[in-house]
Amino acid sequence: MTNIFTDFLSSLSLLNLGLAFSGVLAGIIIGALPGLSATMAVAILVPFTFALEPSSGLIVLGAIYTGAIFGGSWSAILINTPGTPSAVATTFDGYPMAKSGNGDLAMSISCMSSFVGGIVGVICLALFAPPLASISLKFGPTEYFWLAILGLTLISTLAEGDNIKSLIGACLGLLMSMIGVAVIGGDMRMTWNISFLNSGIEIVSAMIGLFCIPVILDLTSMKGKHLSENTTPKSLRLKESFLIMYRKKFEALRGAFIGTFIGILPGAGGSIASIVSYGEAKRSSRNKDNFGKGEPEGLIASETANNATVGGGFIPTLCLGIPGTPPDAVILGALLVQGIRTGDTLFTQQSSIVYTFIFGLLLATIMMLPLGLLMGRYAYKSIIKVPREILIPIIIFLTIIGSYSIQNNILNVYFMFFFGLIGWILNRAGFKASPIVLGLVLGQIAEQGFVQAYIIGNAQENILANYFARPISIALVFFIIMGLFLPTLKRIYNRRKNA
Amino acid sequence: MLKFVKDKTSFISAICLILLSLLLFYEASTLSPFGSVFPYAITTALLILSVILIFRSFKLEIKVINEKVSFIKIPLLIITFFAWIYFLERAGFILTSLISFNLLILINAGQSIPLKKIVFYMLLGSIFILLLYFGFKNLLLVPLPEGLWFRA
Repeated sequence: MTNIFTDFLSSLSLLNLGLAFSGVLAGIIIGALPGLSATMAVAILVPFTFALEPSSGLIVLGAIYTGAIFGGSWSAILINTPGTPSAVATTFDGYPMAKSGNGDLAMSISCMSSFVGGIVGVICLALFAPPLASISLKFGPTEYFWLAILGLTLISTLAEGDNIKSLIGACLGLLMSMIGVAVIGGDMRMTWNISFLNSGIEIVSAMIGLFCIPVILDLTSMKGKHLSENTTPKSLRLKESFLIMYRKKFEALRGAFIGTFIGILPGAGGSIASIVSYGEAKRSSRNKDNFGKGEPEGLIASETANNATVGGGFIPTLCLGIPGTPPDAVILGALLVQGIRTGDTLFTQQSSIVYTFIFGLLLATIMMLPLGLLMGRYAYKSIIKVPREILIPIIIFLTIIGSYSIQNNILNVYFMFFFGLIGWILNRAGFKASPIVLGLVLGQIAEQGFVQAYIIGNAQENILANYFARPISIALVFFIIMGLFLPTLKRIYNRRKNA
Repeated sequence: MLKFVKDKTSFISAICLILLSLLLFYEASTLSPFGSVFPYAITTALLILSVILIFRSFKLEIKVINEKVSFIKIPLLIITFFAWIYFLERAGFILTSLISFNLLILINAGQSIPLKKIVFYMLLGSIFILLLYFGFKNLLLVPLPEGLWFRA
C-alpha cells in the first residue's frame, strides 16, 4: 500500500504533470485532424520517450493516446468526419446536434463522456487487470468473428436510415476489406491486375473520403449557414451538459464498462466498442426514435465506450503482452525497448513503473476534462464563424493532407477521392457511409475469425458446432439475432395491437 | 417493367449490386479454398439482400432526403479537387495547394460576396496552408511533396 502511495506521489512530479498535460494537448489536436490517428500520434513520439525515465515515457504516450481518442470526436461532431475510426458512432448524433445549433453542448457532453469512460477504464486497469486479462484468452477465432458481425449488424439495424440498405452497405465494406492479399491463404483478391490494389485499401483514407466528401459536396450545393448557431452562444453550457450526464449516469457507466470489456479483447478496439455501446443504448432507451437525429444519449454511449478502451486495452498489453488496440502495440514496443517485460509478474516485480504509469494515465484523463471543454468550445465557435466559402477549401485541404500523411503516398489521396465520390453517389441512393466504413474496419477481424474457425471446425469434422456451440458464441449469436429481428418483430406486434 | 416499381432508385441500385455480386462470386471461384470461403459467404449475403431490396422496391418507396445538387459548382469543385491531387507531387504541395485553395474559394464565393472579402479569405487561406505545411513538415515530420521543379 505504501509503495502504491509512493508511486502515486512520483506520478505527481512536475515533469510527469507537464508531460501528461502536453501529451493530452498534442493528442487532442492530432486526433481532431482527420487522417492522423492515435496510433500515428503515439508512434511519432515513441523515439522522444527513450530519453525519459520508463514511467515518464509511458505517461506521455498514454496521455497522447487518451487525448487522440477524445480529439477524434471533434471532427465527428463538427464536420461529420470521425478523426479516428473509433469515433464513427459519434457522427450519428454528434453532427445532427451541431447542425441543429447544439454543437457546443455536443462538444461538452463528448468531453465529459470521454472523461467518464477514461476514468472507468483506468480504474479497471488498476484494480482488475490480471483477472480481466484471463477472460480475453477465452475469445477464440469464432468469438472474434461473431463479435465483428455483432458490430456490423448493430450499426446496420440501429443507425439512422434504411435497414436493408445498411446491411448491404456493411457487405460492401466487407467486400472492400478483401481487396489485396487474403489474411489467410495469401490469395491475391479483387485486384484485377492493378498493382496498387495489391496492398489493399487503406482504411483511414477510405474513411475520410466516405465521410468527408459527401459533406463537402452537400455544403457546396447548400444555401444558408452550414451549422446553426444556438441562442446562448456565450456559455460553455456546462450546467446543461452536467445535468444530462447526471441523468444518464447509468447509461454512461454502461458505455464505459462495455468499452473497457471490448478494449480487453485484443484487436477489437474502439470502433466495435462504440458501436456495441451505441446499439445497447438505443435498444434500451426510451428515446429510441431520437437516435440518429441528435440524441445526447447516443453521443454519451459512443464517447464513454471509445475512451474506456484506452484503459481496457492496456490490460492484455501489460498482463499478457498482447496489445488490445494498435496504439497499445506501439506502446508495447516502447515498453520492451525500455527493458520492461510484460506478463503476470509485471504487477509484482516492476510494480512501481506500472502503477506510476496508471496514475499518470489517470491524471491525463483528469486533465483532458478542462482542456477539452475549453478547447472544444473555441473549436465549435470557430467552425461556426468560418464562412462556407473558406470552410470547404479548408476541409478539402485537410482531407488531402490527412490521407497523404498516413503513408506519405499519393495513392491514398486518390483512394480517398474515389471513395468519396462513390460514397456521395451511394449516399444519394440512400446507402449511408457508416456501415460501409465499419465493414471495412471489421473486415479483417471477421474474415480471420471466420476462416480460422472454419479450418478448426473442418479439422474437428464438425464445422457448425465450432460456429454455434461454444458458450460465448451462443450468446453473441443470440444478440445478433435479437439485433436483426427484434425491431421488425416489435413493429409487427405494434401493428397487430393497433389493428 | 419500371412503371410497376415504386422505388426506382432502390431497384436500379439492387440490379447493379446483383451484377456486382455475380462478378465477385465468379472472382471467388478462381481462388484457393481458404481465400474464397469468406468472399463466397459475403457475396451470397449481398445477393440475398439485393433480391430483398428488389422485392421491396415493388411494394413501397422509402424516400431519401438529399440536398439539391448545384450543377455548376459541383463539377467545378470535383475538377479542382482532382487537379489538386494530380499536381500535388508534380508541382509541389505549396504551389498546388495555394492555387487550388484559392480557386475553390472563388468557386464557392458566388457573386454576392464583395471582392475585398474574397481577397481577405484568400490571404487567410494562404496563411493557413503555409502554417499547416510547416507544422506537418517540422513538428509531425511528415515529408510533404516539394514538387519536381523545386527538388534540389
